[in-house]
Amino acid sequence: MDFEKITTNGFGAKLILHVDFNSYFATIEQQANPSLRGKPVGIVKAEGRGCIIAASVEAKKFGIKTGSTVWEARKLYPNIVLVPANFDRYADTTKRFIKICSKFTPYLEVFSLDEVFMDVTETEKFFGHVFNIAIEIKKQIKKEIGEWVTCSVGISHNRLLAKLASSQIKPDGIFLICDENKLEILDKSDLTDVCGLGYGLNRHLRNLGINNFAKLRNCSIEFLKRHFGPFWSLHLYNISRGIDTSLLTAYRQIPDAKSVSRTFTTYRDLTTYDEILRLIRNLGEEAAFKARKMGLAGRYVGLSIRGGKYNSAWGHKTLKRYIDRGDDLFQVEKQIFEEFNWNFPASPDKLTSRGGPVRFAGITLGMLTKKELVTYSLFEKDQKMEKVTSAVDLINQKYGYYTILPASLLGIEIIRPEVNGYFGDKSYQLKFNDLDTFK
Amino acid sequence: MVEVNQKVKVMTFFDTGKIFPVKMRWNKRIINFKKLVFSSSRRNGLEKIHSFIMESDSAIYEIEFSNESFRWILKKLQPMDLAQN
Repeated sequence: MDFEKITTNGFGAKLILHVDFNSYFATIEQQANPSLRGKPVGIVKAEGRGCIIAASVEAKKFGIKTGSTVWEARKLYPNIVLVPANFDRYADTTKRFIKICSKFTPYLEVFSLDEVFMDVTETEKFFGHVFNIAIEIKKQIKKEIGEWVTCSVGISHNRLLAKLASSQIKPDGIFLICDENKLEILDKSDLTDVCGLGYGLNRHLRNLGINNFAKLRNCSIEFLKRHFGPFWSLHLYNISRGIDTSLLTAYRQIPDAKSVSRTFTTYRDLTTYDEILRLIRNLGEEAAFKARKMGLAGRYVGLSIRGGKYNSAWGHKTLKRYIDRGDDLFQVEKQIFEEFNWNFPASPDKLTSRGGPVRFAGITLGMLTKKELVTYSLFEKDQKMEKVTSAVDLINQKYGYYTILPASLLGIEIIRPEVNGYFGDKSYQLKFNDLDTFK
Repeated sequence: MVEVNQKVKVMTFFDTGKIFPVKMRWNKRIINFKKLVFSSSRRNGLEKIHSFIMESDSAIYEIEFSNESFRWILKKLQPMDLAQN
């Protein structure tokens, strides 16, 4: 391999890095608590929860992974240490991570809470070589965040291959994919190892007898079009050849959110209408606040609830007017819920009736548009409520979330805002919340 | 770690935008910090709370500083023999 060619001049148009923390949540907890280092650790949402949301490097060696239940994890390693998640800690670490990476290029895409893509095409020359950037990022992470914290860095000429590269050596690796080795790396990867090829496409491909990239490459574009349509055929054709023309969505160029949502799995079964309505009210209050903070209002309202395996319901309404207040959102969510005709206790006839205890709710406010473009209500009552809502927002922003809260949420444990690893509300977190490192 | 939640006095070094707790007075004892294990911060409204996990010869301490109250609180501690096991 000619390392001289591994610069923008010999490499192609772009030089992209993918930096990915190793076992992020667990590693941060091990950094914060030295007694956990070197031990199999599983992070749970909170004490008493039954699902592992992140496993340490050591736990992964025993087959414990994200999504394992605590019961499954204990079967694999009985002495696994369970640690409740501390999302404030992870959000703050991500902020510092973004600051470190932004020293090397302004073209930075925050892909998730623990991954960034960096376009160093124009800035590589200031650091001598792209490997110097990778090594320096690792050094700065150890210095600024902690000596136990590691990351894997993938280097290539597009996002697809850079992300594949970072997964080659875990933990604490640096890996380069260039024209000389890209087909070799693709061919030894599983179809789902590549970002952009998910469960559905994978299943469809396997049904056609295509279970690796070499076989996929042998398919003609016409064959792929016949089975996958005009869009996915080109996507698969390109992926199998390591071609990816997608651009980084830089930190500051994230478009406005199209929807805001909040989901929550409860600690225990909810068995009354009041409990479910309070949960919906709580989640809706957060979603509405996010919309208001982003200066947006929406008119698509969605609600989903789930109980046991066969008990779930989903519904939505598209309103004629835009809303951004928690109480307005709740009124619509409540209508949708009442239309579910959810029964307590559950009806024995699962085919025609839904009901029973509820463990999950999700609400969405979509078709978001800028509030300043929405027609202002002429009704005095609405104008008064706007002023009340603004005042409540100011108080909550000064003294903390839910300092002022709806009366229906009094006396219960409030579900508070938190970041999640998938970073579904990226636009809000990076531009409007404390993750904005440039405030 | 054992919950403590007591006010303490902390001697702190400020340098290039960073805070380094140096030593702490708690229960009439002076505890010298050897190492900063981890730091993070969080917000509660406008209040920013800085959290530091510090290592001394005998224990690991989690202390917090609020930019609103300007107070240091010892949140938790873990004796070193437990930390090493």
